[in-house]
Amino acid sequence: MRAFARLVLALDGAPDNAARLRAWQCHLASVPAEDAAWALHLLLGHTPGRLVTAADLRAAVLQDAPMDEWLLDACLQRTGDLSETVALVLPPPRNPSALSLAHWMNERVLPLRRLPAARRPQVWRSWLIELEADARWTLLRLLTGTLRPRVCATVLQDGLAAATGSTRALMALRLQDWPDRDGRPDEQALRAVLEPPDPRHGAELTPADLTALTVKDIDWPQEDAPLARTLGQVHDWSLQWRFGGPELQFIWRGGRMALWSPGPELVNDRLEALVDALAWLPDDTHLLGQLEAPAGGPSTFLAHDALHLAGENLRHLRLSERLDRLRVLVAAAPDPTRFTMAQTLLAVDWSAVQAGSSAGRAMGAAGLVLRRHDGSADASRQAQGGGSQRWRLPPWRLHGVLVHAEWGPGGQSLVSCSLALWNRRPLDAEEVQTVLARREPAGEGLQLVTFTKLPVDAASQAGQDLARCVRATALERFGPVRSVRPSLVCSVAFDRALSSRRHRCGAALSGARLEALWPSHALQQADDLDALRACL
Amino acid sequence: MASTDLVTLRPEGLYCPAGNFYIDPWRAVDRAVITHAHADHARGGHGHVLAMNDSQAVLRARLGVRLPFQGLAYGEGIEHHGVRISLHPAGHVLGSAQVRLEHGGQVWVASGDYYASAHDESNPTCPPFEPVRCDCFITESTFGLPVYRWAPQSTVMDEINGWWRANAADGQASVLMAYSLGKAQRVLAGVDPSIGPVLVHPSVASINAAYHASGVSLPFAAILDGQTDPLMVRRALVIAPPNTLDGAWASAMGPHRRAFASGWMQLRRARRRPGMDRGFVLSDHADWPGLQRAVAATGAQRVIVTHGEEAAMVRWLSSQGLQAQTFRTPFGADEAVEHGARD
Repeated sequence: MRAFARLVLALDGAPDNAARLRAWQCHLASVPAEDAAWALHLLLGHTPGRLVTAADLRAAVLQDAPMDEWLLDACLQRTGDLSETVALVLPPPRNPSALSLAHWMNERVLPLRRLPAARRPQVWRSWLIELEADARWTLLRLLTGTLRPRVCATVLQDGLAAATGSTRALMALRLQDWPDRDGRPDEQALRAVLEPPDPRHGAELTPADLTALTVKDIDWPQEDAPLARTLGQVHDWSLQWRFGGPELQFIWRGGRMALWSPGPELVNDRLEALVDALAWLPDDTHLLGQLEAPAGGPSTFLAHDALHLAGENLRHLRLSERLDRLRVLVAAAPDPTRFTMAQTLLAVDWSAVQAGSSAGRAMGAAGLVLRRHDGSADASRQAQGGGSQRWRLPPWRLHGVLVHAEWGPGGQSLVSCSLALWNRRPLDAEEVQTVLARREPAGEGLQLVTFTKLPVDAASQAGQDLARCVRATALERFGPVRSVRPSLVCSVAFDRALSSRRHRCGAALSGARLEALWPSHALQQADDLDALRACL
Repeated sequence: MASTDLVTLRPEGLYCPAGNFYIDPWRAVDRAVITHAHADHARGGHGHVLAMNDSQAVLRARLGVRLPFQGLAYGEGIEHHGVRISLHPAGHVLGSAQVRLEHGGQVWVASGDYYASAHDESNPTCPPFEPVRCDCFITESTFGLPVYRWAPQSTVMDEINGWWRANAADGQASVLMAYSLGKAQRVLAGVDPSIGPVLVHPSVASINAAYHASGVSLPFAAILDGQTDPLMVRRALVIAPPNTLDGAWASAMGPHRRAFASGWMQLRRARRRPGMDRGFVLSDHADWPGLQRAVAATGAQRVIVTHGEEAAMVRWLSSQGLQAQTFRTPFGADEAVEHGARD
C-alpha cells in the first residue's frame, strides 16, 4: 500500500505526462507482479466503489483523533478534502503496516464490500492506525470511492509498452481483455499484457502510423492558379469532400475490432455504439476514414480508403480500384447512416473544381482531398511523390469592431481581443457617433454586439498595432481585460459558424482567427448580425 | 485589557508602553526590538534597533549598512526605562530570538517566529528553541492546525536526497526552491554532498556567508552563474529562492526539475503547482504539537496569537482553560505569498 500511495501522490503532483510516465515505470519495475496488476487495475479506474460514507469517516475521526468538531471543520476548510484531513490528523502509526497492495485489496478491501454497511466501520477504523499519512489518504480515497488518479490510459499503456519493448497500440488492444471493474486482477492477467509481441501478427493488429504521412492543409487555390500545369488532367484525380471530424482507422482482425484515433489511441470505449454498428464488416479489414457526428444524429464512419478488405491486401492497388471495392462495401451496409463514403466532387475541368467551394460549404465540408487515381495506398497519403493535396475551403470573413482586449501576465502584450458587430446596419456616420457618445447600450436602438474572442499573436505586426490601439483607447479595466472606445475595424476569418443560443450574437464561430486591421475603415463599414446569420 | 499590559497593539506594531519601544514594528519607529531578519518582521527606517548579535550581518545587508544596531547575546539582559529586556533562542533562523520583557512583577515573552517540536527535533543551523517561563506568551500560529504535523527531519532529508540522486542519474539539475534566509541553510545542512555538487543562487550565498561568520558550519556551495560548467549543473542540487525562478537566471539553467521545500507542502492542494515536480515538507515553524508543547512549557496563563491560524489557535487555547486573544499583525503575509499559500 505504501508503494502504491507513493505512486498515486507522484501522479497527482506531477507537472506533466513525462513525469507521470517516469513514476509509473519506476513503480512497475519495483513492485511484485501481483501488486503491479492491482495498481494498473485501480489506475484504469476499476475501483471498488463507495464502501465508506463521509458521515462515517467524520464520526470515526472525532472519536479516534480525538478532536472537537469545530477543529475538524477548520482543518477541512484548509485542506478541502476529508480523506486528507483524516489522514493527517490521526496520530502517526506505531508500527506501520508493510502489507502489499494485493493483500490489502484481496484480503481486506474486497471482503469489506461483502459486509453489511453497519458492520464496516469497526473493520476499517482499525486499518487507519496501521498506516502512514500518505497510505492512509490513498486507502481513504479508495474506500470512499473518490480515488481519481491523475493519469490517462495512454501513459499507462506507454509504461507497459516500455517494459515489454512493444507499442502503445498493442498494449491498448491487450488491455481490452483486462478484468472488468468487478474482476480480480492477478499476476496472470498482467503477464498476458506484458508477454513479448508475436511477430506473426503483432504488426497487423495495430494501426499504421499515418501521422508522418498525412498531408498538410493548404489554402483553396486562387482562380488564376495554373492547376492544369501543376496537377495535370482533372480526370486523373479523385476529389473527395473532407469534413471536420477526427480521422479514424478501423481494424477488424483476429476476432478483435478496434477503432483508432490518430495518436494512435484506441477509442472503442468512447464510440461503443459505432463499434456495434460496424460489426457486420468482414473480418481481416483495415479501413481509413473519419468520424462524422452530426448534432442529434448517430455518429458515422466516413470511409476514405481501404488498405485491407476481407483478408485481401489492397495496399498495392490503384486508388480508383480501392475506392471501387469500398463503394461495393458501402452499398452493402445495413445502416447507411453508420457507414458511408465521403461525397466526391464531379468536375470536368479545374475551373469547375475551383468554383466548387460554395457547394462544399453548402454541405458543411471543411475542405477537399485530392488523390491521384493511380496512387498506391502509401503514396496517396504522402506529401511528396503521391502528390496528394488537401485544400481548405476559403474561410468566411466578417468585419467587426474592437471592443475588448486582454493583456497577458506582465501587461506588456495582448493575449486576446473581442470584436463586435452592429445589431443592424447603421444609417450613417452621425448615428454611429451618437450611439458611441451615449456609451450606455440602448435596449432597442443601434448597438454593438460582441461576436467573437480571438487569440492575438503579440509578436506579429497586427498584434503590436492592436496593442498600441488598446493603450490609446482603453476605457475601463476588469483585471487584465480592458474595454476600449470603439474605433478600429478588424477582419476575422473563420471556418464555420454554428447556430448557438448561448451566444448573444446567436452563433459560435469555429476556427476564428484575426486576419487584418483596417484602421482606414469607418465604423459603419463593420458588418451587422445579418451578415453573420448569412454564414450559418 | 488591563492598563498594566506590557505589550499592546498600535498601528505601528507591537508596543511596550512602559519601555516606549516596539517589537517587530511594521512602520518606522524610534526604537525597535527585532526578533529575526525575515522581511515581514524586520522593516527599515527605525531610529534604533536592538536584536540578537548573530542577526547583525543579515539585518545590515537588508536594511542598510548604517543601521543603528545594538546587539545582545542570548540570555544577556539590559534595562530600558525600567523594563528588563533579554533575548532567548527561538530555533527559527540565524539570530532568531524570543523577546523577554520584565516590568512591575510581570514577565511577558514575544516569540516572533519559532521552531519547536514535540519530538525534541531541532533546527541544526541555530540554537534550539528555549522555553521561557512567563505570565503572558505572544505566539505565532503559522501552522496552528492539527493537519500540520511534521515528519522527522531525517525522513524529509532522505526524500530530498533520493529525489536529487534520481534526477542526477537522468542528467537533470535538481532545483529546490527554498527561502534564502533559514530554509536554504537548513537544506544545505541536511543534504548528502556525496551525490553531486551543491549550487546556490547569489542571494543564498550571501546569507551562507553570514552563517559561516557566526560559526555555523555548512557544506560548501558554489554560486550558480553564467560561468558554471553546464555539465556540472546537470548533476547538481540548486538551492534558490522561489521568486528567482521566473527570470533570466533560471532560464540559463538548462534541463531541470523543480521542487519546493516548505511547511505549506504538507497539503496536497499546495503541492499541485504547475511546473513543480515535488514538494518536501520542511518548515522552520513549529507544527501543531510543537506549538502546544511550546505554549505549555512557558507556563503562561495568558496567550496572545499574532499570525497564521489565529482563530483556531485562540479557540483551542481557550478550550484548554487559558486566557487567549489575537493581535492582528501583517506577519507571515510575505512568506505566505512566497510559499504559494494562497493557491
